[in-house]
Amino acid sequence: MKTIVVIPAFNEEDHIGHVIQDIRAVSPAWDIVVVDDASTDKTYEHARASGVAVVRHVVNRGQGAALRTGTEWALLHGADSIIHFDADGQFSARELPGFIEPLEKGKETIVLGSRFLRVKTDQNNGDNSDASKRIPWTKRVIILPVARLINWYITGIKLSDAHNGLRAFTRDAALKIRITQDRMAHNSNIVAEIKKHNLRFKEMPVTVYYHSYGQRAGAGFAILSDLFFGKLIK
Amino acid sequence: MHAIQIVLFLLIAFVVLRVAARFRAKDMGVLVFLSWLVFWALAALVVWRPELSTEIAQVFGVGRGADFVTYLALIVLFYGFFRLGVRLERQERNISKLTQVLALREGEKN
Repeated sequence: MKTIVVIPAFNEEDHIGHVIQDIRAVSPAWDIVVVDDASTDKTYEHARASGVAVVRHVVNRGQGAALRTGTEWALLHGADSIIHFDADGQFSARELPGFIEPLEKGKETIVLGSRFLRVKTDQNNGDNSDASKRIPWTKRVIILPVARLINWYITGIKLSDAHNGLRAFTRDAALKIRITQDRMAHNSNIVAEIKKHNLRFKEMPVTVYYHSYGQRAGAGFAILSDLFFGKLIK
Repeated sequence: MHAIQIVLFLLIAFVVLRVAARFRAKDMGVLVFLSWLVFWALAALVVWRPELSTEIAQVFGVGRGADFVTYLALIVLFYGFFRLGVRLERQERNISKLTQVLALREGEKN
């Protein structure tokens, strides 16, 4: 089973090298493709120096567009399963083998990362190191619940985490899913495609390390606007 | 005749001349050209006899002609804005498609 990890990157020279190293350390057999979304720093050079495949956008098109390019590359290079992984070091590569297990066992065609699932298990175990404590509280209490509701309304699928960039697909699922949203609305876009094609999916717990706040509430309005205009175009 | 009427007449005459020039240069079809002519003729008519717009406005239940024209303009502007948004979105997607093709092609060479 050929697995390709797609890493969209925009100005991530500080993280990209470590992210690639971490993934390699976990599974040297996986192929990695970095999609440099027209970074203005040395992201491209750092990624190339790591010896992985790198494709570059000549103009910045957004994370959704970079994921589409990377997914297309992976399909062209015979991937049986494709992982979307962020370049900013938010995710833990160590969790990847467990994360894609449902795909490898043929149980699911898609797995989606969730910041909130582990919390329940941790609480059950009496462990207080739960992932949700690291999420800035305004994000945990206001932004994410609202985003979840809107996402549920738009996509028809209720997820415990509406905007998580870690996901994996089988080849068949990746061929069906059309990422039409160039910017951050690609997340809702992908979930809506899962519903549309009635694909089997599962949410898996992942840890998210916050180096910065990430997307702010204002980004939510931009996403809604993108979804609105996106709906008008085939 | 008021000064504003003279200014508006001159403006309309200028626009009609520009439209005619574009029609002669075959930049626009007969139908579009005629539609513009009718539109600007109506505009000239309203400038010449402003009370006409009030009469039309009252047919639609709006009190003043000037208000009616403003409402109409707003509707047209909103529609134009909406169309622009859709067109922009389409253009953005096309740019992304091109970017992707270029990236993949370039990636093959490396």
